[in-house]
Amino acid sequence: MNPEATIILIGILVSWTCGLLGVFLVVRRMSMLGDAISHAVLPGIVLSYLFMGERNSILLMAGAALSGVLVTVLIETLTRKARMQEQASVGISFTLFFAIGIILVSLYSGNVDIDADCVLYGEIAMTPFDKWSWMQRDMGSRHLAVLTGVLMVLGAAIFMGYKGLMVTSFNAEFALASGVAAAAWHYVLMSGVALVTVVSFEAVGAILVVGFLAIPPATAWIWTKRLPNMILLTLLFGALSAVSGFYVARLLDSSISASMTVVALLIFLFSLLLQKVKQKRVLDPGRQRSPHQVFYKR
Amino acid sequence: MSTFLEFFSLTDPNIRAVVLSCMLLGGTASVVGVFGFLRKKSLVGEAVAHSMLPGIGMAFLISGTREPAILVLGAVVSGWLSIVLMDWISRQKPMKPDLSMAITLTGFFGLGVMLLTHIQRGQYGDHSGLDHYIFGNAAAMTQTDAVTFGGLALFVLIVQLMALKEFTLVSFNRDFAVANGLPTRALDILLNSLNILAIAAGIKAVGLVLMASLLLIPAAASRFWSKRMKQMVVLSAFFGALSGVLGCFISFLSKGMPTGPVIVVVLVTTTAVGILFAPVRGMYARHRRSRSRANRMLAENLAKVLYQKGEKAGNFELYVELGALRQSLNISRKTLLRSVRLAMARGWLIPKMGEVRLTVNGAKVGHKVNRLHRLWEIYMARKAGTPLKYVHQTAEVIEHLLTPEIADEMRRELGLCESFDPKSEIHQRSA
Repeated sequence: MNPEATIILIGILVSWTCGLLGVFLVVRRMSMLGDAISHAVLPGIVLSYLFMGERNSILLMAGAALSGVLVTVLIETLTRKARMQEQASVGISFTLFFAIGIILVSLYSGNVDIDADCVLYGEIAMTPFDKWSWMQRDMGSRHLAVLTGVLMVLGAAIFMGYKGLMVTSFNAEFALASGVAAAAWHYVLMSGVALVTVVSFEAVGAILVVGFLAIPPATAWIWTKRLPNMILLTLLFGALSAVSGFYVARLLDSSISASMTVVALLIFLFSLLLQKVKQKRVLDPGRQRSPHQVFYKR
Repeated sequence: MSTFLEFFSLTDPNIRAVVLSCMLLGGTASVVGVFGFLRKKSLVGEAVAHSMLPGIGMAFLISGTREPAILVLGAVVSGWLSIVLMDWISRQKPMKPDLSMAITLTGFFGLGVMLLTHIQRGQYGDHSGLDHYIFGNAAAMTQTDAVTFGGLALFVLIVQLMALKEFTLVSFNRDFAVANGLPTRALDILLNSLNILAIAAGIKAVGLVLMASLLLIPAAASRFWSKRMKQMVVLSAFFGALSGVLGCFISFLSKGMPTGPVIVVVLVTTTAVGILFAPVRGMYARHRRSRSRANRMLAENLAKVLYQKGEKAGNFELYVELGALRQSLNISRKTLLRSVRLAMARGWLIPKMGEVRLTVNGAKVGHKVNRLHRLWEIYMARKAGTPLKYVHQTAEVIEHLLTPEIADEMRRELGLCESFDPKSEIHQRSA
């Protein structure tokens, strides 16, 4: 496969894995928690690098998922036990984790081949050249393979757990009353976010992960309120921003992953404006005022 | 040690300028942050700080210089734009504040990264040092930087402190502020501007990724020590300034270490001390309070049951077997032993070979608890119309909490005389 197609495909896969989770984060009003977790996996990633000295092992993912879950536990503890405001405990917890991660990166920058900037915005342009082989045969880009695998696992998990996720997202009391383990779903979702961050951060960095977690689902939410439609639209918008982001980046000669985020934001703003125009037309057809309305206006 | 002395003796004019500037901007950000924290908008600063990146890139592209004043101007402009956009998005139909925050943050930051990579790859002259604005590097600050950022911080601090009373009013009692003829809208805009300027002052030393934590963490920490606005402001300014200086120091010690993360770790450490050991709101203090309350309840329950048994037998100094006590209290063996220990420490019990009896003081406590329990039951049954079946459950808890004043009030409302001492009729009937 040629490098360009690989990059675009990786962009689409990242947008899909993030979007699938993002839909649930958005309807649960937990978008900033997604932001927090995708920052907080950093120390887990760096420590796993240091100890394993190898990329993308299962242990690396486990380490990152563990630090993602740890930060949610810390947030819960601060809110419940220390009675701190929720926003404040989110802010403190993830900046602490992120800061520790950055310190580790700069302490061991000799041993670890990630740097602080790469953590934030990745380098998707390098992904096609990072290949893997199986039985002496070239199998193409390693990221592509990993992302495909994760997308499939995630898709299957969401398909099977759809009911539980939906019930706990939209009607927490009902879920509690009918014995659905809401807390368990919460942690499933959070570890999912951590996992997605790990597999995508090398390619696209934490910021694009957060962007794809929030922006395409939010755009889909403007157009529909039904969850299945929302998921489909999220996938559509995600793919759209990945593809056009790539070409925008080439046009302007700048970071590909950042361009994808910006395009996603533009699509979002465009949708919002379009929706606003539509609403106005419904409320005020033709924008004609009857004579006495004009009279009262004066 | 020599580095320590070199740093803290402040003989090098460059170090002196940078340290002073870090101290100022740390303190200022923390003072401004108190408002955001108390209005429960702590994460807004996070979004605004990230959103300053495109402004920096744009300012560089337009002006072609790395003059800190110009870059800060760009940062402030794009910070303001992000606030306006965030506010607009969150007012649209299905959107929510946290979602609009996440969207604005990533969108603006993405734009900033686009601009920076574009600058790095194109022919735009000397652009080195622009990436210091992301994670911050106090050691790389020049004297001009220090003066610019420190001056900005000082300006913000002065304005903030001058209008502290007005800001407090607008933030926490808007109606009163309007009634007093304060220009609330103008004050809102001013407060937002100060927030943005305070963040902008720190982007070189702390970096925009972690600058927001300087607004949030000291404020959150000071909340554990005080609930008064003025004390919180002073405390959080102290925390912020301290962490600014320490972060600066560590950044000087090892050149590769970015300042922002170090400051965050220092801040969180000081906060953790407050969370754990602050006198009233700290976790340890709260734990001790709830433990002592639980202990008193255990001992009182024991005295109550012994008193009831004594009441039945007509002898309050009756020896009761521990097994029988356990049965009536319905608690585990361990809890029973603990209760006995606690009651003995209070001088309410006398033990004898697997049996216990009340002392005079213990009988008094048992009498008091029982009286409150029954009084509450009567009150609930007569005044609140609670079915007899349920009066006992609430009484089990309230008997430990009722003060003599409330009990007296209840008795008077029930029309009972002062010496009224309810026996266990209702209790027995409902059981």
